[in-house]
Amino acid sequence: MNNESTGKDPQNQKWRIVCYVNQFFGQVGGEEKADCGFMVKQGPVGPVRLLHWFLEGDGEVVATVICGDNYIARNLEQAVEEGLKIIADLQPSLFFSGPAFNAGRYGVACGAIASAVQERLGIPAITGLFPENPGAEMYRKRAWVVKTGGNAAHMKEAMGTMAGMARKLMKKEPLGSPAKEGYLPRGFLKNEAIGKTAAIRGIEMLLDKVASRPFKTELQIPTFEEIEPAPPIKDIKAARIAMVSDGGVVPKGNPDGMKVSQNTVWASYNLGDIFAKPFQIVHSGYHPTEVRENLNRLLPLDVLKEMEAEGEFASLLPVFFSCSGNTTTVQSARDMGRGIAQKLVDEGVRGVILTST
Amino acid sequence: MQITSIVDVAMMVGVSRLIRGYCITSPVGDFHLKPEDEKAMRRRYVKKALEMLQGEGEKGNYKTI
Repeated sequence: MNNESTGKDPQNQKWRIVCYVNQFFGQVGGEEKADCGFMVKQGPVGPVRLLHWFLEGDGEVVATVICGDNYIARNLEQAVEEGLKIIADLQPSLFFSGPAFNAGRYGVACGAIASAVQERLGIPAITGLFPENPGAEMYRKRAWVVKTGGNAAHMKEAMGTMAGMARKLMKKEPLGSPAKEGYLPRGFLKNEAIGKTAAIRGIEMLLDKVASRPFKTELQIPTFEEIEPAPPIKDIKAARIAMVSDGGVVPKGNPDGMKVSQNTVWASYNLGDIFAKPFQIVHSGYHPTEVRENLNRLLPLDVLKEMEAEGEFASLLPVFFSCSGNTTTVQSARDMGRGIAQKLVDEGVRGVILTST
Repeated sequence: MQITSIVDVAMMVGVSRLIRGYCITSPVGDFHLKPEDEKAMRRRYVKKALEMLQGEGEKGNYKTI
């Protein structure tokens, strides 16, 4: 039974902490054990001992829940439900997963489980992920995601930050900004009273910049990686061309669950079918009237078919790649782009016409 | 290559073959035109797109039809 205000067990006044790690950090095995299902080991296991040490005096890791990365990745939703039940039965007042650094499957698992614990058990759930880990973008708004380095060499630092955040959350102390505390932004805007107006701060920042003095931007502008343009198509008449669009065109019923905003889903659909059968637009960022009246305005199939028949290029790929590009994160766009690009390469496509609304 | 009317975003992320689309809601179709004229206009866009695929990519710039 826990003291509700601090989560401490009145018997020994310590927080009941449960941690989730994968098969490797749980000392079950390496990649060959990635298919193992859930198991529970008593007390802290592996690097969780560090967390136990950091929180000594305030908390006690009573159990480490372990599962294989592949077991979870194969069926995330079901596995999270299974894990959540195990964790709930252990009655924690505080939960940690990972840290997973930049490991993709592990990061998604850590984020998913921490989010489920936070949302459904109502206790603080903290994980640690490298900002580029796909799990970071997916779950930073749903669980507390501490920003870590790219690999396990940063374990001690990550665990220290995670423990520090846990203390503040459990003691209900005010939490500073993400930059100050070391966690990923959760999407909240918090007003702060600062002595100087924005005009003065802006001028001071500019003067520092011009004088090559260090300055700190208040708003982080996203940077985009440099992508080398593909070389020109040498022989267009021998080339296969394909269409891609982020206008959110899907068959009626949206079989692949594309989202109207912050979408992460892409799919390919047969061009003949999409023009002949009912379709819908899954994109809340533009008014779809013109495209509904004539889909060629987004996917110029009519003229491409004519030009294909005239031999302007060798062939048009019979499917097009569809996604919805509305308030998509850079990371999601990158992931979708990479996925689509690989399929295009597999299909021998040499050139793409990407139409965007 | 990309056809979009929001060329600023495309250039910001580094698109290197870019045509300014007709409008947000209709990248390759001027719906004020008669159908056959709209289709002819669409063909000009696609013809330019295929030409650009055969040329060198150029960041920070776009073509207008």
